[in-house]
Amino acid sequence: MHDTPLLVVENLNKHFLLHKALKQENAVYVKAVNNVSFSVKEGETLGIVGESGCGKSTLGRTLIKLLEPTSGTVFFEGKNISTYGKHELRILRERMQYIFQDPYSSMNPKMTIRDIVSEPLENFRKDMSSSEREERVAELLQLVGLSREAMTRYPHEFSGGQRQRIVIARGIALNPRLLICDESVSALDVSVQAQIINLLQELKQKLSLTYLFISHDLRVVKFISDRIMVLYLGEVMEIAPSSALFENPRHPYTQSLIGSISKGDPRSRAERHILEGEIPNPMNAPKGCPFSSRCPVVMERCHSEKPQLQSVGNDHVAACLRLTQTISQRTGDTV
Amino acid sequence: MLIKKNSFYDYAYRRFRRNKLAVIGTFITLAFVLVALVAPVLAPYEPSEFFFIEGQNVYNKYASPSMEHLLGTDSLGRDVFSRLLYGARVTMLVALSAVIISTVIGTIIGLVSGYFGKFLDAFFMRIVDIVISFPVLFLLISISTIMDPSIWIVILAIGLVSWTSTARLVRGEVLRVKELDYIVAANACGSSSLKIIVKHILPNILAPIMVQVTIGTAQAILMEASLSFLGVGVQQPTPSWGNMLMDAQKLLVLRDMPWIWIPPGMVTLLLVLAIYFVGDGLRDAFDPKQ
Repeated sequence: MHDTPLLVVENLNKHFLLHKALKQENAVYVKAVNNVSFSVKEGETLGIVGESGCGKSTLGRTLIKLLEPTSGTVFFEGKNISTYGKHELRILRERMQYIFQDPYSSMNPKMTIRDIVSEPLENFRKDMSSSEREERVAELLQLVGLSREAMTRYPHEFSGGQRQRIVIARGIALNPRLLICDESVSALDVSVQAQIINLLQELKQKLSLTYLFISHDLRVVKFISDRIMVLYLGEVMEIAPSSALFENPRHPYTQSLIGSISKGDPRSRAERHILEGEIPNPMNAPKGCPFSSRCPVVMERCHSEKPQLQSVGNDHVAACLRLTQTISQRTGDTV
Repeated sequence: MLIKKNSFYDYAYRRFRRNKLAVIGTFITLAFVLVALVAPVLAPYEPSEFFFIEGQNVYNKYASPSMEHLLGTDSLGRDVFSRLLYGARVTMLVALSAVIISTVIGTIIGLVSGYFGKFLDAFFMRIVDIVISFPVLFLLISISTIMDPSIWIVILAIGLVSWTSTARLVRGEVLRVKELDYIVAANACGSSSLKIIVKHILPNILAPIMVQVTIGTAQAILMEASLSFLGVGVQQPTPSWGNMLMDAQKLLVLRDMPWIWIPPGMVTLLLVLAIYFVGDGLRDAFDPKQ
């Protein structure tokens, strides 16, 4: 693992306009991604977790510029890609690929596997002859554990796990540096999930890939990620190395997320925080801390004051006012 | 075989074959096409050949059916049966050409409108609104008065006023398909807009377009018939089923000479019905929920 960051995101915002209004301040926006900053080192896997509707997928799609960010900057390989025009964007597509959530809908049902996997090659390797392209497709299929015969068949002839392999083959066809996996195993059976995750790990080694692994399933994320970022209502709650996050979660939201994982032992009577209520409507998110409406340890300040991300350990940041309090108390003690 | 095994169209074909009405409709339609193609062989006379009463210099008008004239003769002493056969050619030529025009225009406008959206969408949909509100009959009567009426003007006129339903249908389908993951995926792997439209969207909305084509054909036949019946469509002496019905505007013919108007009326009804059955069958066959 190198230390040079492959991807640096600074204050990324993606707001969707819901209602237009004559006066700009009356317009209603959904803040799907709100002031998100993080970085991904080369060769690293960053897991992004959060409940459904917290902006994980929007974040992923904004990064690869399938959605236009409202504001903020994204540096990829040291270059600011947020100002990229159409032409430069195409080159970016070669280096950054996206793997979709649902392997049933992410392939054109009218195309053969050969056409599906060779589509990125047709777009970017124009000098390849069709036989060379076919060889490359066979090679890619082999890499993801499928046989050459798969080429002439249609997506609906494959199972969910096989389809996800095909989608991955398409994703790595151009040797990208960064692969954004958006809930890539969520639609699969648990046993198949493990196979796909192993495949992703294997490919990472072979092709020196960097992953951004988006999922709502903490167990999957724990298994595959080097570092984990926790999102809530489009905002970063905590970023920490995988082990640190699970051993010592600092944000109450992370704590309750980890507490909600089933232990696999029915007799385990460990203390569990089950969060009450629903994730608030992002149209009228709480004013202060976004988590304040459901937080088990909420304080008066939390409703009005927005916590900032702060360092709480080695490579470990969290955004909670309680942490600020303890730190300032501690510093107050020493003075 | 043309259709790849186990593909979407293979399954659709199997479902279509199980639909009796649709199969019968297909056979009737094909029979009509065949008759139109070989009309010169089957027809006993030329379509605009006049017949005289033997030994006299008088047209053999309104002759009742006989061995000589299977369906009798019309107001100018022409053989109704021969005109019916040749009329099938004209009717089908008009209907098919008009449908090709309307499908091409409608599909292109629907694709552009649905895919690019925004200004283009608003612009094209307003054009659709304008075309829909056009008084078609009035337009055609004016055109055939101003210009030398020909079959091509009828084709053009029907084609240019009937693309709107195709455009709306295609636009709706594009809006549905556009948001699917595989279109976003094609975008993410660098495909151009043209490639996405042609390779990803069009093949996936072909089924409803095909249904629309069959139904559009039936509608074009009816439209041609009504235009010709009113005298602004296909002009004499060219026979079409519509203008053969023109004679039925006379009360005397309507009351006493059914051989003149029943055959063209019946074949129009039969063909349109058969094509509708095919269209319905296609719609069901393409609907995987069936």
